[in-house]
Formats: sequence, C-alpha cells, structure tokens
Amino acid sequence: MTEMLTFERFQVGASFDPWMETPSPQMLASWEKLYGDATGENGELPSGMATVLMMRAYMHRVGPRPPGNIHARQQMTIQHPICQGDAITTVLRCVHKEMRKERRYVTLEAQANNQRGEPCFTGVMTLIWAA
Amino acid sequence: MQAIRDYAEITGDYNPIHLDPEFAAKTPMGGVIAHGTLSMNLIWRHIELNHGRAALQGAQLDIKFVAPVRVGDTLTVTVAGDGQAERQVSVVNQSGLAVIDGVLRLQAD
Repeated sequence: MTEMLTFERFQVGASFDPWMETPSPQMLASWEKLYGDATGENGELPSGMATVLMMRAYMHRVGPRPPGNIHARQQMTIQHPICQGDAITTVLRCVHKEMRKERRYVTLEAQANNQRGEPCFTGVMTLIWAA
Repeated sequence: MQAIRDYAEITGDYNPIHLDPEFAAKTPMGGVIAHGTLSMNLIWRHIELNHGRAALQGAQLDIKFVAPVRVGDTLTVTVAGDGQAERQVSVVNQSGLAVIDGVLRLQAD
C-alpha cells in the first residue's frame, strides 16, 4: 500500500509522473450540464476544461492525499485552445512548501501540452495541506 | 449539492470536505464547501460569454479563494477595468461577499 503523501514527503523540485488523457464525451457532457456551454463548431472546448484537466492530473498523480486539503490560490494561463480529440499531457511539480501560521502550504506547478507538443496551459496551485 | 457532486465526478476530486457533511463539519470550514475551481470556472465562462472564446488565448488568471462557497450559494462574476491590461476579478455570493478575488490579464480586447 502506498504511503500517504504528507507535507513532509513533498520534495521541492520533484515532478510527479505525467498524466495524459483526451477529454471524453462524458466529461464534455458533464461540463455542459454544469456550465451550460459546449464545444464550439470548430471543435474547440470551453476554456475552463483546462482547469478540469489540471485537476484531474492532480487527482491522479499527487497522492495518496490526506483528506481535507484546501485549495487556497490558483494561477492559470491559457496558452492554446484544446480541441476535441486532443491528447493532453500534464506534468505537476512541487515548486515550494512552507509552514505559515501553523498551516502547511504546498505549491504545485502544472504544465500541459497537446499531442503536437504545443503548450496548452500552465497552472500554479497553492494548497493548504491537511497533514 | 448536485453541482458539487457533478464537479467531483468530472474532476475526480472526492475530497470529503466537498461531499461528506459529517467529515466537513469537523474541519475549520465547519461544513461542506464547493470545490474552489468549480467557482473559478465561472470566470472563464464570463469572459467567453462577453468577449468570445478567442479572447482567452494568452489569458492569465491569478486568484485567491478567500471565502468558502456553501451549498445553495448564488454566485456572480464581476470584472472591473474593461479594456485595461489587468482587470480586477471577483466572484461574489448572494450576500455580496467575495469568495474569489484576483486579477485577470487578457492579451487583447
């Protein structure tokens, strides 16, 4: 059984394994149900799908996580549209961690490219880690 | 609550702070809260609706989740500084309390 990813075990500078996926029809249907907008006529996905892909990479690659982590801050840059059928590879890396007022802050950087190697988005997540 | 469940499903984020009232009640949040990015995505949606999807190419968002979003909250996106390179962006709840605060930079209007 894999050991829980506690604050102490984060290594600043270390990357997690890449996460690759193509947004599925179910994901797009769920997005449309939540936000009311859908894929454009040219196949471009709603820009917020970048957020979803980043979070899915985090869920699949950063763990096992203790329950109760809090998302404190998010920086995000949209670099290139994501289209239907695109295979997006996201890599997350721990870029910082610190104790601040008895809270464990972890900062993760995300970089995502499509199948042509074009950068699609970057993100920086700041999380208050639960344990 | 259904939106929170739907967002958990699309992201794979089943953190009990979002889905388990009993667990969430024992945390500093005092109860279930929505995923931060569930609300953040409203900003992307707002810009797409008002400026078109192409307007977001090169867009940079830098926000803090400053207050929890509770089940039943109604959220509104506000963007100040139209036409400026850097705009103040907020998501506020029905009481006018900002739940997200930050800045948005668009490459072109």
